[in-house]
Amino acid sequence: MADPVRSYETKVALVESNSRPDGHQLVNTYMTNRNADPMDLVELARQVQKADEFTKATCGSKLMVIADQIRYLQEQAKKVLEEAKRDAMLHHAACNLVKKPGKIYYLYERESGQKYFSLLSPEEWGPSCPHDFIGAFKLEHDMSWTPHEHIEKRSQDFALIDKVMNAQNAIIDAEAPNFKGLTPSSRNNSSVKLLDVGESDASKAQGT
Amino acid sequence: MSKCNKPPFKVADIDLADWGRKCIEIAENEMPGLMDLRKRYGPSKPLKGARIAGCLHMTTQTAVLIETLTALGAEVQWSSCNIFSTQDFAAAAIAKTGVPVYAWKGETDEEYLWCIEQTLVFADGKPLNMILDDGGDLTNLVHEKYPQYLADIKGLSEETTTGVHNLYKMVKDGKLKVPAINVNDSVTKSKFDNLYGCRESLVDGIKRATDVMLAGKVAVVAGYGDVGKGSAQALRNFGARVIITEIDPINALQAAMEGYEVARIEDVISKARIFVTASGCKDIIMGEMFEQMLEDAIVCNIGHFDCELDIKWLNDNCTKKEQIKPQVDRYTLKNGRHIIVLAEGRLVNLGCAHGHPSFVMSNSFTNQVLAQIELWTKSDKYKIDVYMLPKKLDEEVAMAHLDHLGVKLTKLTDSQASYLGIPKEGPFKADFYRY
Repeated sequence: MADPVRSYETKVALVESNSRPDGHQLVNTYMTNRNADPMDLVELARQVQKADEFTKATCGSKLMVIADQIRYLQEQAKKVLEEAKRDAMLHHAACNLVKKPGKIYYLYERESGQKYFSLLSPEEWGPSCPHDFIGAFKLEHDMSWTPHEHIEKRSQDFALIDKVMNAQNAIIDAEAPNFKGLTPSSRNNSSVKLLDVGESDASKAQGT
Repeated sequence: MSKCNKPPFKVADIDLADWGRKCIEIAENEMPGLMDLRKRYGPSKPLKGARIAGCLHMTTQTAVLIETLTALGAEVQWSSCNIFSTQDFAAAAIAKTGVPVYAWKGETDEEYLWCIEQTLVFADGKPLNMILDDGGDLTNLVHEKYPQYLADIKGLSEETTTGVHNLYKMVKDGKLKVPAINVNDSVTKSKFDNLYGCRESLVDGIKRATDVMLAGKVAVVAGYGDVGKGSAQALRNFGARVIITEIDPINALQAAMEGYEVARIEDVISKARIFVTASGCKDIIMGEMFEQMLEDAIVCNIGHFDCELDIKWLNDNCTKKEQIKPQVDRYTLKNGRHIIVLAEGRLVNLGCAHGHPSFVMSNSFTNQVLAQIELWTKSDKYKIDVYMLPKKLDEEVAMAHLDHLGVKLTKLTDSQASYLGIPKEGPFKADFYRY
């Protein structure tokens, strides 16, 4: 890992010598400062070099995390923009019917190039399907579109969010006092936050 | 068409079924003719064995028709005859009862045909043996694309003018392959639909769209047929001063003798605030006429097609077109004046209001059911041709609606009947009687 050629180039900075430390004259600075074992210097140099590498590596890995985050955020931003573009395209696709959230619609393209939504799937059309099938999309309640292959996953996501929200409601809206006596009425003037729940649990376990 | 993976139904949102059911229940009470048929024919099930493919606006009223047909023993599959006319809640309610419905508001033209095709073959793999049509698309589709089913079809009943025209043309060309009943021209259908239906829904549409005060305004009604008569009467009853335009001297004289001013459109174009076309003709209000109209004149059509008004000219020549709300457009002309156009020149009572009320549809649909029973049970009587329902059945339709209105009918005595030379129980009029 250490480059042997470079390792010798690493300069070892020794602390400046002082012939009168604290105003006290040393007898022979050379003798005091002389390095008895030449290997000591090499050892020091190696240590400095290693530290260099560690610092570089640590810094690098810390920066890497940030770079990763930047890349991730960029990707997220790109995804959001692309989804917005796709949703807008889908919302503006020709359609004779009023679309209802929660339903799946099928996008086709006519010979003219016009894209339009149909209530019929390619299976329902069968061999008489008149136009090219582009994809199936579910209209979500937030008026976003989910492509057919992600419908299952998206509904699981929604179920999870539901669960989290219900759990929060259960904590906040409970009639009976629960954590730290949190009730709907005390909620507004209490400083207790949701975050306290964990602590309170812990302190309960510890204190009693 | 693939039959193997045919869905049991296709509607916009099956969750609307409960709402649809409530609307159907209210409509049932307003459709005494159909309910009367259920009472009379429900036990004997005269339509047992009939597999009816229906293609007619999938609305609440049609839902009552469908459930009447099933109550009489028929198997029914349904599609709508217009890509925008389906009431999704009514379709959902019917789908939920297990009747295969393929209809939603806002189909594409391809989906529209797909929907009709789904109704041809029933769950057990057997094809349709009766047609109930509105407009002729189902009739034509079977004749042109699925002629193999024609042999088993005992008959078809057609609801509307367009479809009836198509039928007579098919007969003339020797193309019709099944006996057909023209329901449209039953007295209790067209006379009631056109006159009484439009009399209520025209003003309903104008008012929902514009909230305009009708009293005192000059209104022009182009055409004094049944639709024009109903429209003119409704406007007059609100206090509008109505002017009629006509090409037929008989209708023009009728209008005059009802007290309407009868004039030419070009002479009154700069006088009227409201224009209603009900001529069934084309090119009634054209380009330059719009420029002579008063500020914010209201223009709409209640005739069958949208060619009575030159909407294209407005679109091409306006300086600005703003949508005030769906189906209400305000054009700014080059001279700075404005024109308000309702429903883009299409039927204003459908575009801006809810079309015909249940009660008047009950008349039409009772004719439909009687036509289906007639063709199914007496198929040997009907060779391939277009027929009208017998006068007696027309009278039966009207009879079935009297109770609900508390009408007390006077009975002929034997001597009165013999004096008039007609049967005591009808038919009371000769076929040429005009009502």
